[in-house]
Amino acid sequence: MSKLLLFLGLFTSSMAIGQPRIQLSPPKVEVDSVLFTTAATVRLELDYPGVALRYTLDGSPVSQESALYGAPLHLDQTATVRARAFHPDFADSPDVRRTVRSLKNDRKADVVYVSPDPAPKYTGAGLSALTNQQKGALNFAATPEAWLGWETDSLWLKIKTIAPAAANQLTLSLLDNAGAWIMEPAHVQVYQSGELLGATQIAAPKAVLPTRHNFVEVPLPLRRYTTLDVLVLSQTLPEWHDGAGRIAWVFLDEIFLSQMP
Amino acid sequence: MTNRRQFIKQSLWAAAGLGLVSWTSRGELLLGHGDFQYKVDLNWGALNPQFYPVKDCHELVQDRRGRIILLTNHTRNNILIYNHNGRLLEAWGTEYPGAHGLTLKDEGGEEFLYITDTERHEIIKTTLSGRVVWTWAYPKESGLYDAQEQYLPTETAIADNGDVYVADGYGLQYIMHYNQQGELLNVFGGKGKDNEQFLNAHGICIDNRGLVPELLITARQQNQLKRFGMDGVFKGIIDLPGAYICRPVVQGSEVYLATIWSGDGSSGTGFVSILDRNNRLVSAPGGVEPQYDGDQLRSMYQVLQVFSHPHDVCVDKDRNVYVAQWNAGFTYPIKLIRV
Repeated sequence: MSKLLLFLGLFTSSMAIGQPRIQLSPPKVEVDSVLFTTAATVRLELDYPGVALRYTLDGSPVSQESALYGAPLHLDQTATVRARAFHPDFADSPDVRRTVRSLKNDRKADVVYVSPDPAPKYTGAGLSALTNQQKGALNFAATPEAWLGWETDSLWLKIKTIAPAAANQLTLSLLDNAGAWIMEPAHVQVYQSGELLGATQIAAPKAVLPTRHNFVEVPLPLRRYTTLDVLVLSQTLPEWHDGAGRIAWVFLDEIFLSQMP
Repeated sequence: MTNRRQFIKQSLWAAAGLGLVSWTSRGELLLGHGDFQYKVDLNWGALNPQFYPVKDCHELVQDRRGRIILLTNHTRNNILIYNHNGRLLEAWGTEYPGAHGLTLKDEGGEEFLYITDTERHEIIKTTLSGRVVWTWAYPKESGLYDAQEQYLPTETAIADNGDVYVADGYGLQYIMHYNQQGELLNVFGGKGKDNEQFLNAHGICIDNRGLVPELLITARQQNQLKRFGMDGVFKGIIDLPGAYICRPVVQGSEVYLATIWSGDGSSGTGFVSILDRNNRLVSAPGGVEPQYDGDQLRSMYQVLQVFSHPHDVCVDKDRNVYVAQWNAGFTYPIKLIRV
């Protein structure tokens, strides 16, 4: 029997040679609540014989040495799960990332102004959709009420708190779906009365990534804020993209003002 | 053939314990499930793009002579005609910038093509060599359309009496029922979430498997296939969660559907769906194995990146499947060879 197994083993490893190297699909990720107050549960799945799923929680890339997924992950802090599928006969899957975000440090704020207006097809349920703590689906068409979309090179938003609130971070919750020409912006700047308080720059991706939620964080000086102006500069679609040189769409579903510990 | 299939099944069963189910005994990748498993020929339709370019490969049909006819929205050659081995036999068509739907109908000995064009907002009937028989504009007489721009027809289905059903899948989502003379007999559907309405009525076909013919119409955004009588009366829904299905293609007792996206609808996804006589998903080449809990299909997703946005399938008499893809890097059709 062991001889037979050895024979089959040799046979199969040589079989794979000469095949086009087919890649595994990214694992399916199920999150019960992307935005949570106590905890979120993350499930990974790629149901195919011989597939191993591995993941990290600290933002580091996933390798053959990363933790092996066995059971759903219970997370009580903001975290980014990165996961990949591995199989001896196929190329490793693309990396899939899913961030879950704790709401416990957030301050109540409203978006009171935006310019330009979102594209007529992607107005969501109006500006209030940006602060209702309702996450849009990865398939944006499935939750049209949640997503506001712009095809513009720059976008201004004005945020107002109900009462002056201590905060040190502004977070934009965005969609990244390069295949649909939607990308996280290149630059986010936060102003108060014309004074630049903080900025975050994002490099264009080097290749197409699976569709994902993105949280772009802008650190701010710890102060009590009433109004803030946010400038969003869109990404230019990179050279590898079908629409290279054109402006990428920005899809926004939430804005958070928070005081992080 | 049955013996061979049983032998392969048994070999697969033996291999399953070793985790080797993905390859044939000759080392070829196997896709699909149950009685519908396939080897893959990724290069079946490959041509020199300098001479015979494609943009999206939208739809495929097979004529009586066994030729595979491909419709692309590249106006150098909207129609490419292959033999079953993938050899190019003929190319024509320069006037269909929005070429989207392609249906073939044998009408008393002569075969005709019905092309829907989403940029011209028209349905065009041609001979197999490309001579235009007639062109139909948007259904103004329905009273539902103010301008031709609202009409983005994605598919036609042709009944044996010559009646033409048009799915306005990217437009107002109505299904138009005409006779062959172009008289509008009935309109049903429309955009919406009710049973008899559609979110993306992308594909339509006539299902002759039962005692009386029915229409199968795609509600792609809802991951559903809807059944209607030929008179437009709603009959039922087939739920295919996670499967963004395109046109249904009935062959024998099965329904085959290119599935353009899958799972969460991410780019680069998709597979091929095959329903049995009871309209249950029994095989999903490129996708996860279909599993039912009672009547509830598990939410489907892609497991191997063999396909990228399959847009239509054509099934030949040996039950091999030809797959045309949308937005797939200007690639040509793939062939699935049944084992």
